[in-house]
This record gives sequence, structure tokens and C-alpha cells, in this order.
Amino acid sequence: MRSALALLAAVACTGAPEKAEPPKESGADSSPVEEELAVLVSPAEAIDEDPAPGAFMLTLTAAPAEHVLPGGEIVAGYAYNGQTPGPTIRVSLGDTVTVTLVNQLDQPTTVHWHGLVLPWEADGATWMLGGVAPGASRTVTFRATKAGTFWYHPHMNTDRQVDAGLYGVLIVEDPAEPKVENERVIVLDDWILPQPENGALDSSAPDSASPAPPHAGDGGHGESGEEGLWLVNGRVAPTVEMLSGESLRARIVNVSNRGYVLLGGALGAQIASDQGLLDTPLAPETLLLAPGDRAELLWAMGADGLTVWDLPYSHAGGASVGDEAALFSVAPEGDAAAPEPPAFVHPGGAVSADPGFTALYYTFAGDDGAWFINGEQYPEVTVGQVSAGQAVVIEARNLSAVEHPLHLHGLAFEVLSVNGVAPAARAVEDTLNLRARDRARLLLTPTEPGFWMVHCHILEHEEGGMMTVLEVVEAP
Amino acid sequence: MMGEMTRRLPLLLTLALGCAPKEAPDSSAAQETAETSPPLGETAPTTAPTYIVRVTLDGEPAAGAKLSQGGHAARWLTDAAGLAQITPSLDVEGEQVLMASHPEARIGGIYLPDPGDTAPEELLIELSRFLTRDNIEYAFQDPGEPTRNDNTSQCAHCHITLNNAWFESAHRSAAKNPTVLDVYAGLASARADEAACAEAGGEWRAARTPGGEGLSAETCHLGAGVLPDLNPECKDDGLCDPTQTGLCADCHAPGINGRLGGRDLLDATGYAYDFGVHCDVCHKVESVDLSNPNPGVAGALKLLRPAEPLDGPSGPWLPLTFGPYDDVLNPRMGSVARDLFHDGSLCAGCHELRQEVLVPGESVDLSRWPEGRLPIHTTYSEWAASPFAPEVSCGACHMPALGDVGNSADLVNLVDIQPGIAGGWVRPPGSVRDHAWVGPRQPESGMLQLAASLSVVSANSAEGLDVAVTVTNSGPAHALPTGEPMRAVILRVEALCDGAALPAIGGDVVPEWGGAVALRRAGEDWTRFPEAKVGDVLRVVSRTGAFVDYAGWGPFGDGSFDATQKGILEERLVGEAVVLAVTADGLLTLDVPLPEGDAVALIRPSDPDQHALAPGWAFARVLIDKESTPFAPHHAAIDVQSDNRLLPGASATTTHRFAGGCDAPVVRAWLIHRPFPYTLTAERGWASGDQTMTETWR
Repeated sequence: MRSALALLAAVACTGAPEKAEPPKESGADSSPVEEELAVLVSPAEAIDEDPAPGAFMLTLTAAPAEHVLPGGEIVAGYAYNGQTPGPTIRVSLGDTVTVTLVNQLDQPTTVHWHGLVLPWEADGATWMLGGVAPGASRTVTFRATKAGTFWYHPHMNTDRQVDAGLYGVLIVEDPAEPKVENERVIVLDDWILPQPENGALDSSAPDSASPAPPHAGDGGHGESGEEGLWLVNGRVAPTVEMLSGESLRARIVNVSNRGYVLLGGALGAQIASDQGLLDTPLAPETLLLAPGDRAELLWAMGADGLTVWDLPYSHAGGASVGDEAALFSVAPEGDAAAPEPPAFVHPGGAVSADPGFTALYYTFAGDDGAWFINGEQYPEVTVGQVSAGQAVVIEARNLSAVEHPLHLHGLAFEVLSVNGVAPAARAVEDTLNLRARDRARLLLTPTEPGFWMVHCHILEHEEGGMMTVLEVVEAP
Repeated sequence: MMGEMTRRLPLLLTLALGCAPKEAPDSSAAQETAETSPPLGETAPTTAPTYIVRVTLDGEPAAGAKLSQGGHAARWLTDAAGLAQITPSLDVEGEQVLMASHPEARIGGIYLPDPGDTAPEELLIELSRFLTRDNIEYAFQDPGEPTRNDNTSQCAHCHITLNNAWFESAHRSAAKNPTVLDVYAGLASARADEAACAEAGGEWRAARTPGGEGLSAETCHLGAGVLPDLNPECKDDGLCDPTQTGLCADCHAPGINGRLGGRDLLDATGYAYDFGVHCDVCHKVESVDLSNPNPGVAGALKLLRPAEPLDGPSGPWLPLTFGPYDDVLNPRMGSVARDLFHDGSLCAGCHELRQEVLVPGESVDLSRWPEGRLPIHTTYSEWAASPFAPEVSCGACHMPALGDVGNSADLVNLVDIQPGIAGGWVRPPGSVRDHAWVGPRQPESGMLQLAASLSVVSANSAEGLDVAVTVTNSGPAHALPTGEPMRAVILRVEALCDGAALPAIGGDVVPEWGGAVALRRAGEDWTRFPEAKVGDVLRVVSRTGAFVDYAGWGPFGDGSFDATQKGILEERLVGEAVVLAVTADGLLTLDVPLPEGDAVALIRPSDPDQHALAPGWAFARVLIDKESTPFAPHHAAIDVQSDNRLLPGASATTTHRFAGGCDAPVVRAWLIHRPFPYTLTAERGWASGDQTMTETWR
């Protein structure tokens, strides 16, 4: 199935919202896909509506849209500002970001800023805060306090709304970092392509009024055994066009509902993960991106091209059904030799010592659509509590047979160990994949008081109950 | 070529099909697949055809039959006329097969027509009811072993990975487990010679040899046992023919051929002894009667051994196998789908036991147990009452997914086999589950480390260092501990200053049964302990006479029992002292005067399993015998003295006090899983099975 579609493209959106189309960068998405077949371009970037320095303002409109699938089929979905992925928000470290969400959907929605440490009222979760009603709007403001690659998506009816196409990338740039000649924002999502109607008497229909494009929702990557078709910014196996003798920085985000992507091939140097630059850069042979995960790869390109592959992987405990497939390629033009890679300054911190005590335990368990943390299903949960400014250790455990990407809202954590083994290099994350039977010990120092969601980022699991709440109280 | 696939195979009469190992790809089905599959790249129809399918059961319309296409997730149900309209997928690899599953018949099927051919008017699948009479003449099949799987009569021939896992499991050794046999026959088999036996107080004489078909050998008779305790004639004759077997074999050796249930565990020989709970036993379970309080093959488990004669290479009986899938067509299996392999009820067949009092002359206290039975094993009902039921069944935790195999027959590990009737279909990742049933017996599984959590709060006060420890059952969907009531979970707490332990001066303690060199009560001589050695520790507790009002399992937590009936005496640590010297007649010199109290335990620190009266606590279901001895084997039990096990999600907090010593003391707390009580382990000479589950310090 995949090979037959490999040269076809892509997901585009039609049916833009009533507001004006956001401006696009050169070569941006949403144009007829045939014209830009297989060229990897970043999603169009948001234009700052506030000319003041140090401030960034954006109106973000969630509205119905139509997605053009590979092969030309049009399915109903949603989009931010008429594009999927939504507009990339690029700000500088320390900027004040103001975003007004306009809801033109037929159901409430929110925007969650995945990976950012920010006031909890701006986080987009609905614990003690409602969503934005259809036709309404809400403005949130926060400061960009950490450089890195983050993303945004709804946090209501999350599996359906994200599945329908509501997601985008937020980049916080550190002016102190070296400039790289080429940068691509790479948004990975897997799509289950339409199947012929089989007339099965016991087939089940989607249980939501949301549009249900065949977009890794029902029977998605891994758990059902079906490999979705991985699209890169809506394209099938696109190619980065650049000059040889230059470097390329790829900011990669996995926005799939539950699709894990195992990157293989010539991965270059991994310079960053969820929470910005790594303390020590890595040279991975493979790199697993669970739903919600991010990574940044850096290549110093000579004349030779390279391909990054999607290797078979299943979060359900076995090798996935399917073959490895090209995810994207880089094709330098010219004969220039590879340059010296840009000199990023990595902090070089060591893995922290485990203090031994444990403030909170999160045990993930479940099966067959019923998913639990600590034996509870959201929203009937026990709210854990920690104090701002005090270092705590959370031990996350996975008792279930499948993997779960643990995601903490508004909190970044250092991985102290997994199953008693400290990581090779210090890693600060906001999303960590828990394999079956994993025990991960996480060190964090909360800074923002509020009620923060803790959940599995397989969105069907989250909606199936695998979510709880952690309250950060003011320091005594 | 595809036209050849339209013929119907005489599937139920073609019984020589196995799956081929790498060395011998001789499956006729596999060869046929190779001949009939369309070549890759051949133009395929773009529109899937639609068919009307008729399913009959003994010639009559089969309503509610479930149709499936091999290798595809879709299912179709037949209507009252036995008809269904289907549209098979064109994307399925391997043989194109349509199957029908009905609860009263072996799965049947046909090859699908070539989509390019003219569609027949309708497709027909004929099913036949299997006989519902259990066949006492049936001999359970050889499961095979990892090193003995070269014959298609062995399950291990195809199910290599599952067999490997099962072979290392506790289920495989259920009938030959030395601890089970010791408690069954009243033996201490680890005391392997007459001198060792005599030193432990046992009697060295003949006994029937387990698995030995009536052979006998001298061994050490020591302690309680089903045979000597329930069969007085066996008390002095280890060779007797017992009349009371405690139903042990019904679960521990369910594969004894012939009459099901009520068998003597020592009658297990051959496969029944060597392989305990094995493939052909579990997969002969047709249903589970959860209303039957007795476990095993004569109780809750309803086995159906095939009764249709067959003159062929697959044995004297037409194969009949119950399993989780509705699309297994290999005639070597004779498969029938049953939900009991998914929903945990199969496990309930043995992991739920409510037992009458078996001790001659004793009876159950009906005021405590109105049903007339003692709760012995309640793992299934614990789960059923948990928030995890019914969706998250036993297998979700105890049968983790296996990687690297396409199906239970190791499809992707075998070369020259395409998905099809012989090798089965490629299952979605995560479908094939580990048959090792991971748990406490497999430390490498990490299950114990995932089961409980600990938190510690401490504060210095004028009286010393006050510590509160909360233990939470944060993982299992059943009580902690669960299963065999000999198990306990022990909490230990200590406080240190600069690495030196602070004296414990108050608080909750591990009960006396936590293990000690010696125990004394108030009124006995506490000055002389002939067993003592220098360095031993004496711990003293006081008792108010009141009972702890805890929230435990069943009547121990639902308000049925008051604190007294819950059976745990309040006791608090008073103090401890270290032995500095011991005279020949046991007079002790201590580092500090021994405080007054109601009980004292002599502890040898070099024995890591002695925890009696130490700062801590313990969680267990405690059975007592007619002498009120705690942790009686369940055949000897007359009551449940206490049951403070932690139910799913439940927590318990204990308090402790240590002598103050520094500004920044460190408190360490840890949990220990103990499979057998200390006294029984010591008596029988078993190796310690204690494992640390989790620990914390702050």
C-alpha cells in the first residue's frame, strides 16, 4: 500500500476560515500539492501581529477544513488558520507571547502549549477551566522561558481534534545559538488511508461528532498492526533541497495520535530533545519519537544526500507489521565538501544523583480502551500535590502490556534512571516513553503553581482515562 | 491460478497439517499456498467483490456465526438464515481464506474465489457440532519442550516461543514443585539424609516418590501435610492410598489422564507430572463455572476432551482445542473460540478457592463464614471488584506482549511459510502474549517492583524522630499480596544518623511471625536465651489488648467484622537491646536494660529474614489451624485470623519512633515479598524466597 502511494502527495487543506489567510513563507504549504511534489518545506509561519520588540501576538483560528489526502480524496477535518500543520510560531527567548484562540468549530476547544512552562491558566487544559465555546475566543499570554521546539494542539476531545488536523509548532529561538543555513520544521503524522467499505456487521462507527478523517484514530499505527502512512508536513517522503557545503537543522515533532516513529538511517547529530539543547549531543543510530516527542537533528552536508527512514515499530510489544520506508531525504546541490558543523554550546551537565525518596508514583495500567493511572480514570482522580521550588522525584511505572508516552504539562523533568539505569547523558524532557514494565525516576522542580495534567500522549489512551492531575502549590 | 483457490478444501478431514519448521518446509498447505498465490506485481482488481455467504451447522442455518477473512480484522455475523454479505479485503497477504466460527462447532472455512473470477451465487461453509461429552479415554497431548519439539504431535513443534516461555513458568512445574509436594505429603525433601532429617525433628522413612508411578524411597517426614493430616492412615505410612487429597491435584496436576479431579497428586506421572499445567489442559477448557467454589478440573473448569474417533496421523480422536481466536483453521488444532481466554475467567478456575474446613473433626465458624467455606485464594474476585475489571483482565499484566513473533505459531520465525491455514495469520503487534505468566516467581519481570509504592514523612520531636510510612498498592488489580495465603508483604523501617542505625523506641512492628530465633511472652523468663549469640538483638513490644481496626479484604474491611474479629492485636515497640555476652546457660548481658513489655523476640541480624517485632508492619491473609498457629497450610486451616492485605489502590500508614540522634537523620523504608512463612521455610529447609519489592529513603 505504501509503495504504491509513495510518489503521490499529500495532505493539503481547503475551506479556509473566514479570517484572512495567514501569510506564508516562500514555498509554504496549502497550495496544490502536485506543484510541489516531494519537496520538504516547513509549514507556513505565523506573522507577528504586534510590532513591539519582545512581544509576539497571533490570532489563531480553529475552523473546519478539508484535507486532501494522497490520492486526491478529500476528507473533512479541522485546521488552524486554514493550514495543517498550523502556522509555526517562532519567537525569541524571553518574548511575551499573546495568542487569541478563535473557535469556529462546532464544539469547544482549547490550545495546549506542549512542552512550555507557563502559567497554568494559559496551558489549555480543562481541569477547573472550561474550553472556548463555539464562536467564542480566549486570549492567553505567557513568556517564552526556554529555547527549543515545542508544539500546540487542543486539549478537549483531544484525540478527535488533533486527529482532525489541529496542531502546529512553536519555536523558541535563543539568539545566542549559532545560525544554521538551512532549517526545516518537520511535522510527522501518520494517516490511515481510506479502505473500501467492507460491510462488516459489527464494525463500529466513530463515537464522536468530530470529523473523523482516516488519520491514525481508529486502528492507527501500531496497536492494530496497521502502519499508517507517515506524512512529513503533509507530504509523502519529501526531499529537503539545499546547497552542499551547508548545514541543516531539522526540528522534528511527532504529532500523531498514537503513532510511534522509529527514525533510522543517517541521523546526523541529535542536538536537542523535548526541552531544547541536550547537555551532550548524541549520534544515534536510531531515534524513537513517541507521540508528542520532539528532537532536533543537525547535518553538515557535503555532496552526498541522505535518507531518514521510518523503521517498523510497535508500541504494543512487537515488531510492527510493515516495511521500513523513506520518511524524508536530503539532496544537496553542488559538490562542496561538508562544512564544520555549527558550534552549539551544550551545557554538559551530568545526570543528577537520585535523592532516593519519591514524592509521587504514577502507575500506568490498562487494556482494551480502559486506561488507568494509579488505578483511576480521569476525571475521577486523586490530585497529587507538590510545592513550587522544591525538588521532587516522580516514579512512573508501566504495568500494562503496551507502551505509554508520559507527558507532564507545564513541567520539565530530568530522567534520573529507567529500571535503575541512569541515562548515558543528562536528558530533560516533558514527554517520556514508558515501555512495558519500565520504572522511570524523574527529577523536577516545579516553578508554576497550578493544576497540571499528567497523562499518556497516546491520545486514545488519554481520552480513555489515562490522565491525572498534579497540583503545584506555592512554596510554604 | 487463482481459480484453483475457489475449490473448497476438505478441511476437517485433512489432519496432517502442522506448521513446518525451518528445516522441513513440508507442509502441504504451505506448498499449496506457494502454488496458488498471485505473483507479486500482478494486476489486482481495484474493487473488492461482494459475496453472500451461507453458514450451516449440522445442515441447518447457523445464526450468529462469525465470519472472518484470514489475516484481516473485519468480522461479519450471519443472520437468522445463516447468511451474511461480505466484502473481503484485497490487501491480505498469503492464502485467501474465509472462516466461520460458531461456539458449538470447530471453526470451518473455504478458500475465497479469485476476485477476477465470476462470482458464485453464494459461498457455503458447513459446520458440524462437536460432541459435548467429555471423553475419559482421551490422553492429554505432549506439550513438547524447548529441546524436544521435532514432532508435529508436540505443541512445541509450532508454538516454539510460547512453549519456551511456558517451560520456564511456575505452571509447568506445578505438579513437581518441591514445596507443593512437601506440604502435600508432609515432607521436608530438602533434608536429604537421615541425619539432617533427625536434626530437624523429622522421621526418615519410606514415602511414595512423586512422579514415580508407585515407586518409593526413604525421605524426611516432617510437619503438616495433606496426606498425613487428612488421612489418618497415612500418618505412619507414607505409602498409603489416601482418600482425602485436598483437591490439590485438580489444579497442580490437572493433566492426569482418566477421571478428572479428586486425584492424588502423587498419581501424577508422565506429562501430568513433568508438565503440570500444560497446553492441552488449558486448551481443553470449554467453559468456566464461576459459581462452583471448588477450583480445578473437577470444579470450576469444564474440560471437554474430544470424543469423535479418528483413524489418522493426528491420533485416535478428532482434534478439539479451545482458544482465544475465531480464525484458526489448521485442522490439527480443531479450534473453537472462547472468550474465557481473554476475560480472565480461565484464571479464575484455579485462582479462586473457597474451601470447607478439611481437618477431621473441625468445622467452619458459620458466624464468620456463613457460606460454610473459608476464603483461601480470592485473586479473581479481588480483581473483579477492582476498578480495572472487566476491561483490564489478568493477561494485561501477567501475559505481556511478545515481540518478534507474528503469531502464536511463530509465523515470522519460520521460513517458507506464508500466512495461511497451516501457519496461521500474522497477528497485530501485541496480540501474542507471553505464556510465562510473569509474577513474583520471575524477579526479572520486575512485577514486584511495580506493585507497591512507599512514602515517608519524618520529623524530629522532643521524644525522638517520628516517622510515618505509607504503603500503597499502586499496581496490581488484586490485593497485595494475593494468591497463596502463605504469602506476606513485610514493611521494614529504620532510621540512621551518619550511617549508624538509631535505636527504635516506639511504633508499629512486624508481627511475631516475621521471623525470630526465639519468642517469649510476658511471664516467661526473659533473662536467659540459650539460643542467643553475641550481637543478637532483643526487641520488646507492649500490647494493650485492643485490636487494630484496619480496612482489609471482604469482611475485614466491609464492616462485617469489628476490630476484635479482624484479629490483629495492637502492639507497639517499647525498646530493644543488643546482646553483649551469653553465658553457657543462656544468661544474657545486654547493652541497655531490657524494657518491660508483653512479648520479646530474639533476632539474629545475620539472618536477613528475621523481622519479628522490628519497626515495620506486615500485610497478609493469615490462616490459623486448630491450635491457632498462624500461617497454617490451607488444608489445615479452620479460620482466617486476619486479612489486612492492601486492596487495589489502597494505602496503609504506619508510625514509628526512633531515638533522636542528629539534625538530618535518614529514614529508610523497604518492602519485602515473602512467599512462605518463616517458620515453615525453616522447618522444611527451603531456601528463602524473600525479595525486596521497593525501597525509599529520605
